[in-house]
Amino acid sequence: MPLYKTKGIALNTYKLGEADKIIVLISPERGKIRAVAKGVRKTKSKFGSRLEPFTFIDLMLYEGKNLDIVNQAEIIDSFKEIRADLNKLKYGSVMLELADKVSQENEDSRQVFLLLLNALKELKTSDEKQALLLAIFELKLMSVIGFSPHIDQCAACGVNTKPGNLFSIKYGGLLCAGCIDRDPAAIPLSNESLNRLPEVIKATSHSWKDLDISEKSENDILKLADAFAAYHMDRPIKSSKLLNI
Amino acid sequence: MYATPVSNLIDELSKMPGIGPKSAQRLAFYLLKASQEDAQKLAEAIVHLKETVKFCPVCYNVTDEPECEFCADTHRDDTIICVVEEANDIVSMEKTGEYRGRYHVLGGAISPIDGIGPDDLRIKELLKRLEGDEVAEIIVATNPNIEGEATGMYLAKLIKPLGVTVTRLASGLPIGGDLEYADEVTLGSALKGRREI
Ligand SMILES: [Zn+2]
Ligand SMILES: [Zn+2]
Repeated sequence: MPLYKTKGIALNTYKLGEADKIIVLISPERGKIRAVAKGVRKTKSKFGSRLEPFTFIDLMLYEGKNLDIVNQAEIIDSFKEIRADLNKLKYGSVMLELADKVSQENEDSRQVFLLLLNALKELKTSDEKQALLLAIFELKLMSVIGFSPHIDQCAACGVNTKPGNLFSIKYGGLLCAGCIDRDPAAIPLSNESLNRLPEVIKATSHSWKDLDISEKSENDILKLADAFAAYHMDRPIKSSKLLNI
Repeated sequence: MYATPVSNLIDELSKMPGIGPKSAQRLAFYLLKASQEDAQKLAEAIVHLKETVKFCPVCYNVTDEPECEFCADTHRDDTIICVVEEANDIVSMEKTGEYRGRYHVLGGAISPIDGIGPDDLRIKELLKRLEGDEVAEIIVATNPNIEGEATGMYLAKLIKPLGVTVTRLASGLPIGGDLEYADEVTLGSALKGRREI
């Protein structure tokens, strides 16, 4: 079996047989990788904690027909600060779940990979504004896979350049006065959320912390980003349900 | 592809943990070749298990008595409860011979990525057991993985305000292992949990 090297972030794990696990990873060049880690559930496994979700790892894998097999793993960043803080863990779990859902096997995933890595680095050191960070991540991720929210002109008619404060998940953006009947489920935004939305969409990993935004707006925009992402994933995001435990 | 009775059995077997479609096929064909008597014994053991073994109403361990042996034992320490994910973890704790308190089986661990939250576990039942003043300490003995840690953090957040001490099993180096093979997270946690000798 051919051996290959890659960097990866562990997204999820599943138990397999008596002592093994299937590790789901995202890598820059090969996209999603599913690999078997033999004996990893035994206390004396050579892998130890190296393949736990959130861990950024340098890997050597054997290429298999269906599943690859982990040969070696070295930690680049364990992101243990995220795993040791219940709040960070909750927000980070949504990031991992979404990265898992949008990535495919054998597909260049540099953009998603870097987006996730940067978001995790920010989350690791941020004791506040975690909802805002997650909202930014979700909106950026949707842009990467081709669904940028429309905020400069009406998302339904595409003509009116002064849309109002109703965000339609279905049309993927703000609606103008003439189009409000086209989506009765559109979400009304507060003035603050509406005004901050363009900056939230454009925020980078350097600038996002300086955004002046109330906690309420942060959570409103997160709800919107979450609904937007769930719509394009065709299913609800499981870990989002647990954000308020 | 197979006769209905065979594919029915394969379907049922592949619902079990760790059994994929291939293993299910192998087991089904093994059973097909097994003697009538062996197959009968297996079927009866499964039915007997479901008919007689129940959850202990106090700690949710599995038992065929009204209360499990650890809850019924009057010599055990009532001031301390060891919280585990699954009933078979009790067996591992008991093998140490070091623990004489009570148990509580959660029935799993918090896993945001799988959508498993506190309401899916027997956490309300645990809180009920803390209502008297008897319990002074909760030992969180969940698995040392991300779900087990999340469950521990959640329980600490919930239970500490009640004035009950919440402790976590130390995680560190496996006895008989080599330091040079330890990963940095395990080694770091062993360092944090060091003790005077
Ligand atoms: Zn319009
Ligand atoms: Zn019991």
